[in-house]
Amino acid sequence: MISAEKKIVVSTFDTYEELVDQFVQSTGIFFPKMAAGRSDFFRGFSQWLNGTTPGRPWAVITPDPAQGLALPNAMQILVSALNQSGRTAGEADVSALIEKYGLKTTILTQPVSTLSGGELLLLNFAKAEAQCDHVNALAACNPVFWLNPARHKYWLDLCRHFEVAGKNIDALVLQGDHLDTSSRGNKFPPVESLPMSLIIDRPLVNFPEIQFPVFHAASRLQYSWACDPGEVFSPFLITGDNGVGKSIFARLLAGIFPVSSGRAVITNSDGNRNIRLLFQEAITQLFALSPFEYLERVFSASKELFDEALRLFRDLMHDVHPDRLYDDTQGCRSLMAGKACLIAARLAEKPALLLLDEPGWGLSRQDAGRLVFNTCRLAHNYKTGVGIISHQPEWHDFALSNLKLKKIAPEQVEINHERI
Amino acid sequence: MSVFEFPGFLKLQNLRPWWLKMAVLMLIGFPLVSNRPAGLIAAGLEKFLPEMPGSILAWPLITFFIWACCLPSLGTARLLDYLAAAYTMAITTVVSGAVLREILPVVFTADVSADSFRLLRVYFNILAVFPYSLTFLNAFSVSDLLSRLTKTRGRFRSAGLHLALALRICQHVGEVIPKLLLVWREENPDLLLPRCRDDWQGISPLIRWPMWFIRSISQWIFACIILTFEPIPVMVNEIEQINESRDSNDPH
Amino acid sequence: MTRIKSRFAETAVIAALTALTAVTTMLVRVPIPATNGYFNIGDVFIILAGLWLGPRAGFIAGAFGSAIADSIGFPVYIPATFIVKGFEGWITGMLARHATTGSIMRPGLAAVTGGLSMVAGYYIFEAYIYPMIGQHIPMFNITDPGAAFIALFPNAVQGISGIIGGLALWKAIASGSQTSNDNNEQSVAGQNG
Repeated sequence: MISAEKKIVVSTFDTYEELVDQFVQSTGIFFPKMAAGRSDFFRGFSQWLNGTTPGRPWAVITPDPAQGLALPNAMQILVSALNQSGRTAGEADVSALIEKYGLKTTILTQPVSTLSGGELLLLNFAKAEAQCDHVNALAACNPVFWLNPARHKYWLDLCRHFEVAGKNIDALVLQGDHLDTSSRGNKFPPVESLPMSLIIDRPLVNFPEIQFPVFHAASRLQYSWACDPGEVFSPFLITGDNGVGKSIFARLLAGIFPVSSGRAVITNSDGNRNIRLLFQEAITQLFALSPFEYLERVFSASKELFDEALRLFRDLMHDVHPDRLYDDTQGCRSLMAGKACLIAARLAEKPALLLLDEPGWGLSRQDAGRLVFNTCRLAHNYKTGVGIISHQPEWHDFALSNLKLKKIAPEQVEINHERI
Repeated sequence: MSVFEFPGFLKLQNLRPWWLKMAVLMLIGFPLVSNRPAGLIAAGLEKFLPEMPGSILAWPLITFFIWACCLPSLGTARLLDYLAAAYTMAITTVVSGAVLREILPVVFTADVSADSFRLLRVYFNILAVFPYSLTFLNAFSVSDLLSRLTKTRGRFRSAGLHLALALRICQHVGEVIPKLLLVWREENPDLLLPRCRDDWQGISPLIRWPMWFIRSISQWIFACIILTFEPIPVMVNEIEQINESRDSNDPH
Repeated sequence: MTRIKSRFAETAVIAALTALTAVTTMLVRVPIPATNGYFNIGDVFIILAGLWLGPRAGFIAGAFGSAIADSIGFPVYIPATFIVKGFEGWITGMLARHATTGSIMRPGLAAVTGGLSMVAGYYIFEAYIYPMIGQHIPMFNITDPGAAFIALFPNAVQGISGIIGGLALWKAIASGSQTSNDNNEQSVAGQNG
C-alpha cells in the first residue's frame, strides 16, 4: 500500500470518465473516451490534431496499457526509451530492466499485441523507468489493476525509482483500487447457486504465426483438469496468474476461438449450450453506438426482445446508480452504461451462460460489485449462469465455484476446481 | 500433432542478400508475367496429344510449379489457407463470368470456346498468383528494418522514426481488425447472420439483407476508425519525445 | 482541410488512413469477371483522406493503400491502381483545399470529381493501356475495350459508394473539428478579453 509520500499524489475517482479527464488535464496528452460516442470522439480527436504539443515531457501509463506503446515490440520500446535518456542501450541493459519487473526475456521480441494485460502493464513500468532521466514526472492510471497482488511490488519499485530520481508521480485510480485506502469492495448478500455441467476434454487452441511487422512463431495452448470437478456452480470465477490464458479459455468456452482438438462444453440444467461473452474491452462491442441504438440494431426485427433488453438495461442501471440520471437515447456517456447495455442485450436472449471478462475494468470497485451482483440476480431468473474471469481477489468472496488456471508447461494449462 | 517443418535453406525468407532473394522470387514469378514456358509446354504437349489443347495441361503445371516453390516458405497449413481463399476467389470470378456471358452475350466474342479458355486461364492465374503474391510479401522482414532504424543515429533517424510510427500504426490496424472480427463473431454466432435471425423471417429478403448489409458495413467502418485512431495521440506523443530527446542529446 | 499540429501526427493519421484503405479494399471484394478486377469500398477512405488532410494525404492513402491491397491476389492491377487511386485522392484533396466545414458544395464537388476520375482512369487503363502493354507482356493482356465498358457500371457504383461514404465520414469528423475550433477561438477570446 502506498501512503501519500511527498512526491506521490494519489487521486481517486468514481468513474472512468473523470479519471481520463484528469489524466488529459494533468499531462496535456489527449486520450479519447471511447464510451462518449462518435461525435465526442471526433471532436476530441480533431482538437488534438489542431492543438499544440504538450510542453512538459511525461512518462505515462495509460488507462489501457496497450496504448502507451508506440513501437512494435518490447525490445524496440525499451531501446528507444533508454536512448531517450541519453543512455546507449545494449541487449544486456534491456534484459536486466525487463527482468527487474518480473517479465521473461522471451517477450522482448514478441509483438505487443500478443502480451496479456498484466505483461503490458509491467512493460509500461520498465519503459517508464527507462524514460525516468528524460521526463519530469510520471502519470499512472490504475497502475495495479492488471496485476496479481503478488506483483504489486513492481509498482512500488517504480515509485521508489522515481522518488530517488526526485521526480513527481501522479497516480490516478478508481475508487476501491488497491492504492485507494479510503474504501474497499462492498459485501453483497449471497446469490442463489445455479449448477452447470462443464466438460473439458483437453481442448487445444492453435495461434497462427505473425509476420507483420515483427515475427512471432505459431503457438498453442491446451487445457486439462487436475481432477474432474463434476458440477460447477454459478456464479463461478475463472482465475489465475497474469498471462496464464484466462481470456483465451473464456473465448474457447464461448466458441469464439475454434478448438483444434478435444472439446470444451458447458451447459445449464436445461441442456442449453448458448454461451455469450463480454470482452475485457467490452466497449468495442458497442460499435460506437449509444445503448438505445445498440439494442435497436441487435433486435431490429423483434420488438419483444428489444423491450425486454431495454427493461433489463434500465433495471441494471437503476440498481447500480439509483441516484444518477442517465439518458439511454443519447450517446453512451459512460463505460458503466455501455457495459450494462451489453449485459442486458445478452440476458434478453436467455443464454446458458454469460461470461464477464474482467468486469471491473474501468469501473470503481463499488460499481463493479453492484453490476455483477445484479447481473447474477437477473441472470439466475432465466437459468443463465454467470462466469467471471478475473485475477482480482475480491471476486473470491462472491463466487460459488472457483476454476483456478495454472501453467504446468509453456503450452499446457491445468484447471483446478474448488467449491467455495 | 507434429507438423512437418521444411529445412531452413528451402525457405525464401532466409535467402541473403536481399537482391538475391528478389531475383529468385522474380524468377519464380516469371511464368506468370511472361507466359513463356506455358506456351512452349503447350506446343510440346500438342505434339503428343493432338486432340487436346496443350494449354489446358500447361496452366495447371505452371500453377503446381508456383505452389511447389511457395510451399517450403509458407508451410503446408498456411498454403492450404491461402489456397482456400484463392479457390473461392477463382470460382466466384469464373462462375460469375460464365453467368454474365449468358446474360450479356453481345459484349463477349462470338467464339464461345475462346471465351471458355480465357475464363480457365483466369481461374488458374488466380490460383497461382494469390499464394505467390503472399509469399513475395512474407519473404521480406519489416522487423529487421525496424530494429535497424531504432538503433540509427544521424540524419536518417527522423525518417526512421516516421517509418517506425507508420508501421506501428499499420500493426495497430492489424490488431483492430481481428479484434473487431472476434467481436463480430460474439455478436453474431452464425457469423453472417444477424442475432435472433428467426425474427427476420417475416421480412422480405430483398429488404432485410441490403438493410442489414449497409448498416453493418457503416457501423464496422465507424468502429474501425474510432478504434484505429484511439491510441494515435499517445503514440505520437511518445515518438515526439524520442525525437526531441535526440535533438537535445545531439551535439549539434 | 485540417491544420495539423506536427509532422509525426500527420504521419500517424495518414498511415492509419492508408492502412484502413488497404484493409477495406481487401475485406469487401466482389470480383468483376469481365476485367479480372474487383469491386471494393476502399474509396471511402481515399476520399476521406483527400477531404480531411489534403492532396498529399489523399495521394498516399489512395496510391499506397490500394496498391498494397492489390498486391494480395491482383498484382497485375498495381500500376493502374497506384496511378488511378493516387490521382483520385490527390484531385479530391486539391479541390477541397479551401473548403469550409459549413458548406458541402466544394467538398461534394471535390469528392464527385475524385470518384469520376477513378471511373475514367480505370476505363482508360482497361480499354487502352493494358491491351497495349499486353501485346508485349502477356500478364497485362486481361482486358479489352468491351470488358472495360462492362466494368464501368461496378466502378461507378464503387465511386458513388466512395463519394457518399467519404463525405459522410468527413462531415462527422469535420463537424467535431468545427466545434473544437469554435471552442479554441472562444477560449482565446476569453483570455484576450
